[in-house]
Amino acid sequence: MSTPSSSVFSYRVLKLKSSDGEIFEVKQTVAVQSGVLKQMMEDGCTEGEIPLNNVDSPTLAKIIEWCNKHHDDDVEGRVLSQEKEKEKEKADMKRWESEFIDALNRDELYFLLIGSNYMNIKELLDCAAQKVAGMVKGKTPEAIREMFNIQSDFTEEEEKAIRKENQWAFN
Amino acid sequence: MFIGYRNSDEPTSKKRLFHGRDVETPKSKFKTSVLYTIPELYTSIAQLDDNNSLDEMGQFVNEIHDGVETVEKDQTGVSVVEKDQRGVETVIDSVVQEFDDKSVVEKAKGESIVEGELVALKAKGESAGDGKQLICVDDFPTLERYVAGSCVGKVGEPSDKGKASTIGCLDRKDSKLVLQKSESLGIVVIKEKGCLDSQTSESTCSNVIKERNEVSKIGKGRVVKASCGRGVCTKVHVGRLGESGDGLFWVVRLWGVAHVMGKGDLKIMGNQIGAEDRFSELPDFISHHIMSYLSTKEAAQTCLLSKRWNHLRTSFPIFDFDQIYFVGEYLATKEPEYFSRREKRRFREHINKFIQFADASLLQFYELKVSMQKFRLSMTLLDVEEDTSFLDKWIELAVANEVKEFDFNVQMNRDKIYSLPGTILSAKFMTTLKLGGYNMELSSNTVRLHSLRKLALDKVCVDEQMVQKFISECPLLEDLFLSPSWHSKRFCISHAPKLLLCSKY
Repeated sequence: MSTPSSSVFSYRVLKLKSSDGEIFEVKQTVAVQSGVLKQMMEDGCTEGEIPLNNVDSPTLAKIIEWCNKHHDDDVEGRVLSQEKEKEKEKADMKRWESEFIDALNRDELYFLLIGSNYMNIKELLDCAAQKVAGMVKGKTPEAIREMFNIQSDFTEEEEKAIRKENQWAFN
Repeated sequence: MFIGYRNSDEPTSKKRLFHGRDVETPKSKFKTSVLYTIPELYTSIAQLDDNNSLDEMGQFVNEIHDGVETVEKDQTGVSVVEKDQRGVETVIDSVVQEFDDKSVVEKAKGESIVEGELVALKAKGESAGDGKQLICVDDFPTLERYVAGSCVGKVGEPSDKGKASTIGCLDRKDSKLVLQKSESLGIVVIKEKGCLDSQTSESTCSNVIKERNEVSKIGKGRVVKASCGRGVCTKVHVGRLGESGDGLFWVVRLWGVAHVMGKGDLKIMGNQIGAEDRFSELPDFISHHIMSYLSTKEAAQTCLLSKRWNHLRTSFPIFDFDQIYFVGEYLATKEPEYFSRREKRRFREHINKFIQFADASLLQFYELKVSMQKFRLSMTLLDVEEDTSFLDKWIELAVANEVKEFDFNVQMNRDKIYSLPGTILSAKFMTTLKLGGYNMELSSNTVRLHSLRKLALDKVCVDEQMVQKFISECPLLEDLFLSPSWHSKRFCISHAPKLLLCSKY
């Protein structure tokens, strides 16, 4: 995660501006987890406010919470000599991640997907996508429609045809 | 101003509401006393003049909110919204006269309604220069059909003052439902009482719509655009207002009027109006990413959700063709040599369907001209004389779509050798190549797999020269797996700068 010049980064903060105009200050060492911000830092264009037009303030707050957590455990420079400790650390992080993602409602999850994709934070995007997949798993198409308010726009015949075409998947 | 009424399924209660009198309807664009089914209703809305009939539409839509399968449009409703022709005051009077009956009780602001009362709810001096505002509601048995979150009617023009006030309670038992007027919404809504505290406070409600033509903030700051059916309306904004008890409440803007509705109402309104369906709006890439965490079958099943999802399925860049889904686990794992004649017939029948399906899917994907993340094939070919040209074609299609991971496992009949086409060695974007299955051979003069990191050749006939070529032509190769084929020899590997793992079974 860290770049060669990360020690310089740590003294500086980035000003991120959410789509609704709120300013968030984030340490560069934290912000580096975002592929987009990392690129901007490398290009040296992080002066002033950085507008994030696709991310609103509640979502950005969540994203920063995630990055702070992962930064702490990543770059703090703690030396974990014991294999056991490392394992524990990993398990703790996993638990924190699932608690973090489970606490979101569907809207928040949606905006987090959009936001983490926009800011290119792969781990967070993976985590959120996995969560949605978990919600879909084991459900009938009808139940999924109900859950996400998806309206079927197929005619009866079309639906029949699609079911027939993909019969193997519905066995 | 009369601001609302409800029809009922029972003809008797309707009679009570209008006291059997006929009302002269001023020039109305609505047909009167006609039973509309919902699709017809939408059609007739679509036919209305766009500029002048926003209110009428709003009124109309209110009725759909009720969830009535057939909606009877009656005259009182029409006269209420006829303000263009007759002016608001006049209309009010005429309606009040309609209710000028001893059984009608007048209610002032804040008064609750007692069971059995036929109510004219008066909220004096509430707003917008109308002088008096009147909410007429039906008697209580039919009041049950006022669902929390439904919109009663229009109070006045939306104003920027943005204050919502509670003007009545509707539920007889525990006052669960509250009649609330929101000036900024310009409507009266019926909400669940719980819905009014904390999250969906009155102020939240009033913040919903700031300008007539723009939904700015809803609830916690979320606004989404939803698409809607042809010819019905062009712009619908849907947003979540709050969560309470058993359901969500949504603000839907329709024809210039904001409506607060329960989930059930949205469902009834259907896709014509655009119920909240965020996950279908995700960019393809994210939806595909989500689908990649599903099993092959589960990912395939999403095609049935809607046209959007069917498209997502078609463009899903991960192909996992496994005969097991078609021939079943028993036949897929049994050695073909021990098939009974019946099993053979059944196998052939299913495998043909499998080939058809894979073929169609790949061709469809090819048309989209997007890159393929993964291609996996696992199948058995029974017959010696079986035509294997489709395999060449699939490989070509995968390579043409810039496939990254290629996993090809085809069990051949003992007597036949399948020569893999040279195309496979020119896949510039391929990072993983796994080939497996008896009686396959691979030989070519040129290897152009410049991105290859992982190579596994399992029981594939290759000679030493070929392996050397892989090693010298794939500078990024990290992981190499070889297992003996029937004429395997000893290999000598040199000049492999990145090779980390080399295993030989």
